Amino acid sequence: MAKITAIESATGLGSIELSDDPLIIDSVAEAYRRLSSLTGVDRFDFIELHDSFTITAMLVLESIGVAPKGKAAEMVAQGSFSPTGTGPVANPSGGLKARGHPIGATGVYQLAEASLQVAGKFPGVQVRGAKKGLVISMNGLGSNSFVALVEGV
Amino acid sequence: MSMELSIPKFWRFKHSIYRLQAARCRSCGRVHYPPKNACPYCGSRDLEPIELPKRGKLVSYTTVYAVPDGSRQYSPIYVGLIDLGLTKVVTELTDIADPSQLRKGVEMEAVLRKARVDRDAGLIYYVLKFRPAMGVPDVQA
Repeated sequence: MAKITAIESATGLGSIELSDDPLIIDSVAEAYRRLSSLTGVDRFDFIELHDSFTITAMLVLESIGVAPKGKAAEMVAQGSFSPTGTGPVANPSGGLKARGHPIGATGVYQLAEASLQVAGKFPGVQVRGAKKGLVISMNGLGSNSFVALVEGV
Repeated sequence: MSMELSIPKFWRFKHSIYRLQAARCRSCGRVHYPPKNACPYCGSRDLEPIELPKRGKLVSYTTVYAVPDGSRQYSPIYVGLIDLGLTKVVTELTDIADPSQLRKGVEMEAVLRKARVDRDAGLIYYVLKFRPAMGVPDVQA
């Protein structure tokens, strides 16, 4: 089965004109920093991330450091975050744009699907041998963000 | 006859809309536009009005093709992030004959332009937009 090992959150400016660097989602970066320092985990088999818009997926990948700044789109195109890539697999569920985005329920959706992944029971694209999943949920353009570590037990 | 926009609302915001009046935090010095009652950085409620410069440099922009009723004839419109030095603003860009001139760092200046026409009432709403600098800004700081 699956367990949620930790959930962390952070608030952010949520507005591109307020941030010094509009290409970093500060609340995602901070919530992820808190989660990894709490759990000591910084490698994941897959990530369910909040791609409410195409650009947010790229910025999330860069904000948590799995892609260098400005390189996420290139790495996605090369298949780095596909099941055959170097990983982690990004949005095996299809993500918000493909699976759907029922707003407040999206985070619950992501946690449920991440739990099915680490239990090896996801009916769609199953990441082989997935044991650790990272779930990232954002509000708006990052006025607050939640991240969760979901592990198989 | 209904009106979608509110004249009193535009009146209340006239300083920020037409003069680019922002709020400067007396505690940490950060400047915020639109003006805030509390500083998003340090939480202080001690802010003072400050007028922003009407010239700045383009950081980035996007092209919007799905434009709402009342200004659909202007489609596509360009929305840009402009660094005015004291702070950055998100604003509509205008007088774009050729989008290739919208490069990072290009100098932009504020001009008074029509925003939209209220359908039934026929009221015209004006705002400040930014155009590539022509050397003589309509609005002086």
